[in-house]
Amino acid sequence: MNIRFGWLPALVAGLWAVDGSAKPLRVASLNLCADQLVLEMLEPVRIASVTWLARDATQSAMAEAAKGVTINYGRAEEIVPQQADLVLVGQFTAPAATAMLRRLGARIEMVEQPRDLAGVRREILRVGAILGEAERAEAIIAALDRRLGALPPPIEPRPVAALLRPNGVTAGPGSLVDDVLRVAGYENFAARLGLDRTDRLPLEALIMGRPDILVVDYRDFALPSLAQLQQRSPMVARAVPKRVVVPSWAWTCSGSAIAEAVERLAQARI
Amino acid sequence: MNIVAARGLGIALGARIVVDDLSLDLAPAQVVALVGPNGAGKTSLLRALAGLLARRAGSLSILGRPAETLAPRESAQAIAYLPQGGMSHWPLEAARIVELGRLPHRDAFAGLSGDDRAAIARAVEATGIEALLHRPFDQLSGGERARVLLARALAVEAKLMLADEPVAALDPAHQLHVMEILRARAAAGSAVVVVLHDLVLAARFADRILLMDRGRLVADGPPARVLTPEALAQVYGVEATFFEAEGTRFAMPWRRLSEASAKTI
Amino acid sequence: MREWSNARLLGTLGVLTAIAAIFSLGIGTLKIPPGDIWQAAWSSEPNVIRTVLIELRLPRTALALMVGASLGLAGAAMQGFLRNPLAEPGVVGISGMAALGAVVAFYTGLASAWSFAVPIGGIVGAGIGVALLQALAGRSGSTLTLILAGIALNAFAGALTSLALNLSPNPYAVYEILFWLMGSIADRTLEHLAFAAPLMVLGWLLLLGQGRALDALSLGEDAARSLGIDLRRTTWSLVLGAALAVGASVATTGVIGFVGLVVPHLLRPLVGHRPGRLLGASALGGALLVVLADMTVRSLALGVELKIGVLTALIGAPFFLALVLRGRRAFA
Repeated sequence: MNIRFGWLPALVAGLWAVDGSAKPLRVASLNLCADQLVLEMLEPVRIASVTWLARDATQSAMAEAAKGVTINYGRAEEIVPQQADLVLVGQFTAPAATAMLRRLGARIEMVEQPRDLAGVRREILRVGAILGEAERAEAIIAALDRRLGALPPPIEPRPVAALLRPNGVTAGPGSLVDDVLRVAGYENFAARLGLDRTDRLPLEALIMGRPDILVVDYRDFALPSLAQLQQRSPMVARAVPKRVVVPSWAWTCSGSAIAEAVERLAQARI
Repeated sequence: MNIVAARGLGIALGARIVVDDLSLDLAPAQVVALVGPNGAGKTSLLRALAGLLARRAGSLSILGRPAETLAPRESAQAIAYLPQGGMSHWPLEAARIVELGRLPHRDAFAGLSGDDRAAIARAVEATGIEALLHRPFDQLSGGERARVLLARALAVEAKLMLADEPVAALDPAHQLHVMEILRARAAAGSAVVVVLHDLVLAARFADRILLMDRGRLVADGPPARVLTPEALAQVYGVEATFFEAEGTRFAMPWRRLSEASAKTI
Repeated sequence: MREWSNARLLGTLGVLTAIAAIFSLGIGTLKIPPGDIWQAAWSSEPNVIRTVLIELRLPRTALALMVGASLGLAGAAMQGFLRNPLAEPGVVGISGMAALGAVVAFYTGLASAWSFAVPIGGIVGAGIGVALLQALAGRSGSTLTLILAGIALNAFAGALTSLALNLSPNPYAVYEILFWLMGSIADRTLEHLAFAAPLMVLGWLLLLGQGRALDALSLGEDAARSLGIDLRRTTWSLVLGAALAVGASVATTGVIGFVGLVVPHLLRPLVGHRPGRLLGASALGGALLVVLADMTVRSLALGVELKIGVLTALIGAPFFLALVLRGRRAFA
């Protein structure tokens, strides 16, 4: 490292005098899923900033809450002056920004993408502990479990649900969506086809296999794209007449919002 | 009946007037040579007669009817036009090129009729290109190409044949051959107008010479009467030498006249 | 190479195309035995195999045929009209302009108001392209001018297409440029076919009617006119016909390049270099080429399906290069 700037990290680290074990006073988040947890568990005064995506109502369950909080665009130079004790990042968060913050001595914790509901619970608890809000985390999980408990029980044989995302993407076994479908009382069409965790759903398979219901989480933009044509195509509607819309914000991340996804799916079964 | 009657023709290319107040009549069975210096308006006149260039003044009638009243098909059947620097953009077989001459006579998606084939055969015989029929155009020599394109024009069997410098870049044998074919066409009843630069060739094969200078027709008559020393000096700025051959006197450009020299002829 | 008679040439091409089309119906993501396909096709009750055939495989094969025919025919017509063997909708920028028109129509949401909006957008784009091309390179006939005009149009169209996609508020739009530039017949439905087909057929009719005019144009514009060809009408028919055929095609499948270059070039000796005869043959040849290319693309197990334009470019670009190098002296 350049000796001329050697004093800068030391200065900043000084600014950041962090005790890793104490409850972080101010938290910044560079990742949408981290945003959800932060907004759900902390009062605004303890939130240094969340990403701008948190205010998008189609992707973020906590969009309303995000309006009362500073937003960032994922750049290190925005975070530094905010003097956050803790920066939450995701697995794929801008590596350059993350590396820069690490070099400047910030405490970085990674939020993970859960693969099933158990993972959602684990992540809520883990992040809750990091944020020093363990009771809050447990309360969230209790509420989640209450809602899941109130669902109508699955009936055998289970109806088959096919998830259709833009560009024909679906979610196979080993994904969160797969687990949510199971809990909601369905069988995952993608599993029947032997597809991977993220794979394309061939339209021929959709027509031939005739799932009972189509699960769509399209975000309704004012203007179209080719990616969303399949979800809107009359042909797909002819092939699978019944469909349920689960908004993206319900199941992209951990958080109590996941209950919404399960509830909607379970209601659609009836 | 005259094949062409033109009165007071005026033609402009953009702002430039290229033909001015030109009148002429063309009778059948004639070879008429259109001569004059470069830029005199010969090609423009020819194109106007062919209906390819609009007139800005004067009247033109073809076969006794005003040119505007002729339908495109009638016009195409009555007039055959052989452009300068003849070419075929694609290496078609010679036979196919000649066949194109029958387009004015053929119906929309029809093939070649018996009449068409007969006309083509006559054109092929007149130009002597039987041996070339299945050769691609790009493999023919200059002289052979000229004859093939001429055959195409002959196949139209039009009453008016307009040829723009058909012998440019041909060797003497081919030049003479082309002119003989045009003479034969006239003998068969058409009016043939040929733009030429070679005054000897013009005088040899034409019944009548039209001499143009700067857009105007300055002389119209038999070769001996038109190609006088005065005319050649004034229009071309050349002095000619004269010779006799087969009982006719021919003028051959010999020397350029400069402004300064006051040569007496 | 000797010239083939109409019956032999069109017959051979027709039979090959029909065979290819039948095989094309047998290819899909699911392996369905031919016996089952045959049975399902003729069965009186509705069944899923027939639905797959009609809803997915039929539009795909039909579009491949029609787009191929449109591109082959338009290429042959443009070459005859411009008297230049390098003229081709993609090379001279017409396809690029069509894509621009279609992109503007689609991403501004016009398609939701009017189903024909995207094909018409493609047609308008292509029409503007042909008009610009005529203005830039029509009269002179020089290959150099033509290619330069094509480069300019392609650059212009490509840049504006990129811009339009970037400006779309829909976040998926910006990633879709590959579809428009490289073409794909995947997931095209009966609806796509229904809106594009009538426009393409209209274009075909306009183009196929110009056979005589193109033959006459071999001798140059003046000679053609003297043979009774109405050049103004010919120009309009060709501009409109090419715009309709290419515009509707590109609007449906993106740009599939080089078909209009390769097919007429290969077939030209077989029609004795006659531009008129080349039209029908190129339509069939183009249909055959695109169907075969589409079958190849579906049969390659490459994970995400290869864009068909990649395949035609892999064949066509070296072809184009060879043409240019071979004719270097001839092209001014």
